[in-house]
Amino acid sequence: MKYPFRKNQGNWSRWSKIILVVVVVLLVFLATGPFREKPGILPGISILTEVNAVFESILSYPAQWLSSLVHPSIYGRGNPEILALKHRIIALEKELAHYREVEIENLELRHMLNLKRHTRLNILIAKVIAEDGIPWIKSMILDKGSSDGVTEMDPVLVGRDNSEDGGLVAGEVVDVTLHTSRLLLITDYDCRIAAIDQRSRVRGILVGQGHGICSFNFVQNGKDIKIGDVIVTSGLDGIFPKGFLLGIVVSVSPSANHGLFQKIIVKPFVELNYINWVGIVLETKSIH
Amino acid sequence: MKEFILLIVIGYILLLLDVTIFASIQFSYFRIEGIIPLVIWYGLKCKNFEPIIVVIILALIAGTFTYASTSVWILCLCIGYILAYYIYSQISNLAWYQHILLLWFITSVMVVILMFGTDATDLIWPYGITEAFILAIFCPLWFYFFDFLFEIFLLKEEK
Repeated sequence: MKYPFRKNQGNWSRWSKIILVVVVVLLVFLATGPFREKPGILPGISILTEVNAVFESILSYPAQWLSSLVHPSIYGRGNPEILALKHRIIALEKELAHYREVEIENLELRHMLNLKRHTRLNILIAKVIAEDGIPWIKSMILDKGSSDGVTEMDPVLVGRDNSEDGGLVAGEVVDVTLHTSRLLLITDYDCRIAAIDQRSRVRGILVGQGHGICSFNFVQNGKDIKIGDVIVTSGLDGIFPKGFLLGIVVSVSPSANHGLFQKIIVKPFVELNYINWVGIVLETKSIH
Repeated sequence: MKEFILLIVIGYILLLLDVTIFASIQFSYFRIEGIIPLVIWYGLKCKNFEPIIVVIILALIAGTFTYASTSVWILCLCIGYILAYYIYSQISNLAWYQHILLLWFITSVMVVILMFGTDATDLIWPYGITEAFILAIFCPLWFYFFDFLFEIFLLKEEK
């Protein structure tokens, strides 16, 4: 191995100097200029995203299998029978692990069908094929795009056994290409949803806090919020229909340093690390 | 030219693995990253400065794999490349733990840039610095891997 080694210090060609100046100017411009904001998907980038999706969908199968070994699925928790079965599967037979994956997939799809049946929304079922390239950004690539009718800011839900009073909110679509779309999860720092306390009708904004939690912001001190309250969408943001379940309040504390607002932590109902199938709500404008 | 193409292909494969396989075994915010060690390794190996253009191309590709702005990736990878290039061009002999410390410094800068660019500044301590340390620990393994790959694909052709 030739690591480390010295380079030819001081022997810079004219081209090197010109390139250095151009790169430095470009970096300063990018850091301070309008490019800091994401401008949306450009045509060339869109094609590359489509190509990425082909490889990502191929790699998503081993990734899901690996994930099921590293992070035991939520569907086994609390149910001793499934838990015992799962341990046997992991320990004894690789083939059974495959069947368990199919079972989970079935369960998730059944939940999505329940959601479709009960909510009467135009829901498109999509598969998660990849996650974000940066670990702390909570976004996922879905295998449905504009050719399937997906548009930016479409709400994304996850079903459950009893979906009569709406689905569980997973996030919203932020980028769309022809055959793929990017889902921004509600736990991401950039995700903000108009929400309301189902019991006391206190309004606020649900803001993602990164790893598995959200905060319920802009609730004044003294407003009636208790641990265990259910937070639902208020519908005021024009993106999410009213009454969809977001999460449950797990901690309430008054603001520090004589601030105006309470500090409220909300745990989302959806175990966002484990979702493989989601429902994209199409044509939400007609609902509003 | 072949070197540049090989670098871009390896970078692309690493990014693909990053969002699928590595993401599936991610623990909390900690994930095995391949693209950051690749850029640092390239900064160490390059004898000229011009290949920073390839690093910018890699950053543009990386931008398609994430919700973060592409310019954040350009800043992160270019600054990582420049740091590795300059720091290691001024050093001749280092103990292994000094290498790790230097790599930790470079990966910390890169991770902090990514966190600033994605408005996740409150994660810098302890997650960002720990992630940078994990990356620095794994860097020498990646470097051996990249050396191996480049030897296979480029030296064989030269022979």
